[in-house]
Amino acid sequence: MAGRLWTVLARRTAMAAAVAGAVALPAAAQRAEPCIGISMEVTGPLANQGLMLRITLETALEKINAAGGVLGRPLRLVIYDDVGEPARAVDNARRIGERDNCVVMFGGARTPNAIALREPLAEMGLPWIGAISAGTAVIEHPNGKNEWMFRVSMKDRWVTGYLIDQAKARSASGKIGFVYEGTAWGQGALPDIEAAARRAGVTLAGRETFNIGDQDMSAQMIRLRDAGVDTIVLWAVDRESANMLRSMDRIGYRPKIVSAWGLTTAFARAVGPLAEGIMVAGTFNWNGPLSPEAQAAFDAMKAKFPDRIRTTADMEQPSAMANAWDAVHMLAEALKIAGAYDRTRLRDAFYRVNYTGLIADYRPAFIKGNQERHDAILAEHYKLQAFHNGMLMPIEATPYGMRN
Amino acid sequence: MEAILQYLLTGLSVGSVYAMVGLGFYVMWSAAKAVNFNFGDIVMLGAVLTVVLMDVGVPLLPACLGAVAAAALLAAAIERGFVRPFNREANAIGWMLTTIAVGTMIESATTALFGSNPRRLETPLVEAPLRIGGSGIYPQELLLPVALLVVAVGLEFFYRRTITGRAMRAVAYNRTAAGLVGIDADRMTLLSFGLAGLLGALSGVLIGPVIQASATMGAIIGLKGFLVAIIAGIANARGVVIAGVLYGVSEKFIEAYLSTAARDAIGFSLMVLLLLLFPQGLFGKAEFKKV
Amino acid sequence: MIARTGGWIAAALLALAIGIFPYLGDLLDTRFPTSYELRLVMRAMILGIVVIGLNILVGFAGLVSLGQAALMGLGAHAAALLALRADWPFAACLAASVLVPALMGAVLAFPTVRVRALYLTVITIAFGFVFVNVLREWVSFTGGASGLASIPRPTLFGERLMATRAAGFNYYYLIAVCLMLALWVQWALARSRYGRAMRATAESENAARALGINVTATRTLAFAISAGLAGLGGGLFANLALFVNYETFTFSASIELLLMTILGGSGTLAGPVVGTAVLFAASQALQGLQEWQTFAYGALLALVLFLMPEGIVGGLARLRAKLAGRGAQERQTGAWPHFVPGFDALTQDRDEPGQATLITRDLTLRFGGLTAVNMVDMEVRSGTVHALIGPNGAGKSSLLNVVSGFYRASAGTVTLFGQAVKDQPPHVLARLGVARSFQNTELFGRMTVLENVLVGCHIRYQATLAETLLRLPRFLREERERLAEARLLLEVVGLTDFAGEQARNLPFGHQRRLEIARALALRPKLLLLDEPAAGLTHGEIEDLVALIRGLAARGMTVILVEHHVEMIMAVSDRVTVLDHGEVIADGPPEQVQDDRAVIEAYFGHGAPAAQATVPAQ
Repeated sequence: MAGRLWTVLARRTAMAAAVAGAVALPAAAQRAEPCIGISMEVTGPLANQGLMLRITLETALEKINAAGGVLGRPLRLVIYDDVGEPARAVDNARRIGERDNCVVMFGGARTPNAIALREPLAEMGLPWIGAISAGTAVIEHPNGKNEWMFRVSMKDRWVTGYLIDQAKARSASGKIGFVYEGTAWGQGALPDIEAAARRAGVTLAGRETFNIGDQDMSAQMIRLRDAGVDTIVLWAVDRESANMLRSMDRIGYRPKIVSAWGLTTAFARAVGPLAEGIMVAGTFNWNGPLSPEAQAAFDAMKAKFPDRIRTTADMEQPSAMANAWDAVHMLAEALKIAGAYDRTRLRDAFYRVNYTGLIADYRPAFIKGNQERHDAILAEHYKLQAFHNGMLMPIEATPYGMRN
Repeated sequence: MEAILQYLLTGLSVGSVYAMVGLGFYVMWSAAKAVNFNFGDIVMLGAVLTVVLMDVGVPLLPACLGAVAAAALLAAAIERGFVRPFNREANAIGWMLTTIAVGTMIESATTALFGSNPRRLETPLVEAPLRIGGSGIYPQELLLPVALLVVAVGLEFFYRRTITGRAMRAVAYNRTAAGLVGIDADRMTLLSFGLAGLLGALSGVLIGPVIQASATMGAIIGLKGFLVAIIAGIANARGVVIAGVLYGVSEKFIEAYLSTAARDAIGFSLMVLLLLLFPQGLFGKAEFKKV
Repeated sequence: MIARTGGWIAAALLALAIGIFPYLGDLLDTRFPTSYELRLVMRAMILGIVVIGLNILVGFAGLVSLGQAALMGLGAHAAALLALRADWPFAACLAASVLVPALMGAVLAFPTVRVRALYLTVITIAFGFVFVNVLREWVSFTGGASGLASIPRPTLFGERLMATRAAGFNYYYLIAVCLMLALWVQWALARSRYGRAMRATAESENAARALGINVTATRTLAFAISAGLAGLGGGLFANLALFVNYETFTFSASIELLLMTILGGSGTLAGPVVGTAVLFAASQALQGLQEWQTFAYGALLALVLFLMPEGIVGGLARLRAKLAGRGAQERQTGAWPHFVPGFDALTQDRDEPGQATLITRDLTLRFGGLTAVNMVDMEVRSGTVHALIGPNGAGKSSLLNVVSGFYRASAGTVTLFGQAVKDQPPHVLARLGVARSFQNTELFGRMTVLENVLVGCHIRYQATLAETLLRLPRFLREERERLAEARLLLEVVGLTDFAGEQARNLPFGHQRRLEIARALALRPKLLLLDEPAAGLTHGEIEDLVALIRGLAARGMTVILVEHHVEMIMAVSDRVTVLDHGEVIADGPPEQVQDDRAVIEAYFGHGAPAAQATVPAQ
């Protein structure tokens, strides 16, 4: 037995050496499986984001598969939990890329998890397409050489500029404050917002932060109030933002708030009337008038997940869901262009996708050799929304739209 | 001045929660020399079950009572199923792991069934804050120190004046001797965990309206309640109350004048320092090392 | 013997399995393992190293750390920062990832000087939170929540260390070597005085101190080694992931590490590997359950703990012992004392005959308002048996505790072997030659009878930690010698057949014997016995008397606290009587027996003299 083992080992090693010497076969040259692997939070405090993503992707794939799939084969979705931890996300990426041999990987919510994937993805030659995590560094790599990561989502560097402009337009005193959560997403936005403020000629009158799980932000709010801040740019998610609103309510501080897209319907459910008038930058809104395509998408989700999706208000991650919807369709387009379940060809095909989605006309979706444009959604596609009567509405449908 | 008032008020309310949860740990520790390590989940269940009951149409007060009762029952069941079998030998730490295991199950089941989103627990007391100049406080938050006071006095009364309470104290003092005089020590321990569950769930119900109900709301509260109880010297109820309130208030002042982001780093460092200075806890009696 | 060989075979099999795992697919002609499985095994091995460290802390030293992930993170960040910011080579970074946390571990251990077990756990929890908080907020240095990305790929001896199927996986073998090293350290520690000292302090701090073990140093060592291994795991992880941020090292990660330790079987040598493998594999295998996977993880954990409260390896060992126990033959309790030929060599350390071995002057001990020992003057001559008697609460044990260093005298002086020793801690006095037994026997219950005696030999090792871990000749020679001595002492007390039995399973009389054998292993010049006859049968007491006389005959000084009058009369050369902390009589036993004051102390005023012959029976 042992003798055979060593013979085989020796033979294999010799063969491997010979192969490696002749041609270094890129891993991606192997035919990949028609599956989309995703690593996201299935459990834990952000499980709901994962659920919304799952609802969107499964519905979209059902629709695509019903129409014959892609290249004659149905697309599968495999979901792995990363509990929000980067190391687990890399485990999952390896599982998706190596064990399941999926043709593409889909991204979850967390920015650090996406950052941790940079090297493994490049090493495996596995294209990645993100629909949530908005950190600038996810797409714009410090070495300038992002080849495998694409995104159909917001980009913090652009969002900060957008929000600063909105805040500047609404601030009476010109004193704008920045409040962010102590996560990679929140901290990562800080340099972007400073730069955006400089560009817009605004001086930030206050910068405050809080941690996930914090329950009272009185100290931060008192400091902002005392600094005369009348408009806040907010970078945080539902629960902590709700607690922040409570702290403001206590001290009777009511500045205008323009927020990144961490605020969703769940926020309004948590704080009730206090949410009224808070503005949120997003890519899409389901509560306004819908295009036939969007209506069809919503109806399909409603039909497939009747327990979860009853009204458009149940689309708890409105922008992320639209992003994911568009992303998965562009992926199908790209696969058709690639003509085969081949990762490298898929990667190259992404640059040739032109597609009209729910959010935008992506023409082209991505630009080769320009990592800034590995983001499909541009700042001009961002839409301001506002909470009104407990719903997140397009700003035009609320009393908070500015008459220009 | 206004700001200081604000920090005192919010500190008092959050400190009352720490203290109440700390009292829960005190009650458990006294009876069993072990605790439910994931006690924060009982706190969470108090709030979450109230929301669930209100969802199915139960009015606020009965929903609160039902939730607290159910959580307390569960807390007692955890003692029977997950603490007692693993606490038979001195210095056993099995209970620490089994209660962590059951806590994981409770929290993940809640996330799966209730959702990971925070939910509003509506009471009339959080509709509008009371304003005092530029500071303010929700009546709900004022309820917390009041409840703490009632609970602390009630606990004292219970321990001193009722048969069951005295029996519990006897068990805490000397389990074997209590058994010899006919006290069912196991039953007292079970009741103690139920009582602690009552305290924990009550604090969850009371803080829920302010910080929203969610599957993960109890984790940090539970941990801080535990640390506060330890800092106080876990065998001293009054000490736990004082330490809890003090920690809540000092957190607010740390946030106000040192750093909001590094609040826990500063607060926990302070705790370690205190433990080094007072190895038995701030209010613990210096135990004489017996040889 | 079987267990030992079994252990080596298991370790060899583990090494072999790890070694051929990457080539498994070649043998079976399938695409296996991919980089994914390789990565999982690498991650599991890294966690295994950390868990081995935690096992040394929890399983050996009995200290529960819930901040171990933070120590791992400290190692990871030390390695990452030095590589990124200081361009240190990989080997130096890895060394730093061990040393920095080890240092931190030693600092964390400091509180054990002052605080009790649960409090220490709380301190480690607090440390973990502070560490994570600092990592997250010190954005300019640690990268904040975004962490440190693009850590340069490690290079060793000019060789780039790769960790994938396509690019090569030499890093896999580096991790494997580190794991085997960690296992070696754990084994070498367990089978040495250091490991025994750790377990002894965990079982009974008092007994350990009485045997010359510096409890603080021992715990500091355990903490430092444990933290060093955690850091090594962290350093290896950082160079595998090439990205680190705080999220890998949170409180919940610390909990998971502790779960792995306990689930495998804390204190066992194989436990860490088994526990890590099972829980890590479970977290992957349960992925299919989607939002219920965490629930299933908790349920699985609870189930295993229910079925095997001592962990998987502990549970299996118990099962095996049960099966083996059925066929085992009866063990013979030897007659004692059995002064075998070699025994004289073990008792040759003695104070010069006729010298005052112990002198106390005005010795006073107060507890708050209570004066337990009051102005006691006492002299004990070398080679004599000196009894200390008195009614309950007279201060006998207190006096013994002062003399052995457990209590600090409030006033007065203690001179031992001509040296002023006031305020010396017990372990220093033990090194001077003072051994003692305890009123309620304080054995190391979960250690074997033989190990108990070996702990008694602790202070007579010269081999350093490095020599011990490397198994250098001096260590081997000493270990051999001490083992022979320990067996000889067991023969003296007639427990040879029980050498492999856990001390807590011994019948009471045997426990007393063992405690004396353990004290003798110290080669004391002065032996303090605190009520050694309590609970013994008549025959056992006669044996005890013979033993004490035999020791005195060999020049050992014995101080005996006892109630049993017949025994005192039979064995002592001199008797000191205490009442209310004061010496009320002192002299040869016959003289003290008739002393009026003594009779009054026992029976109150007006007691008939005739009763004095049977006090306190």
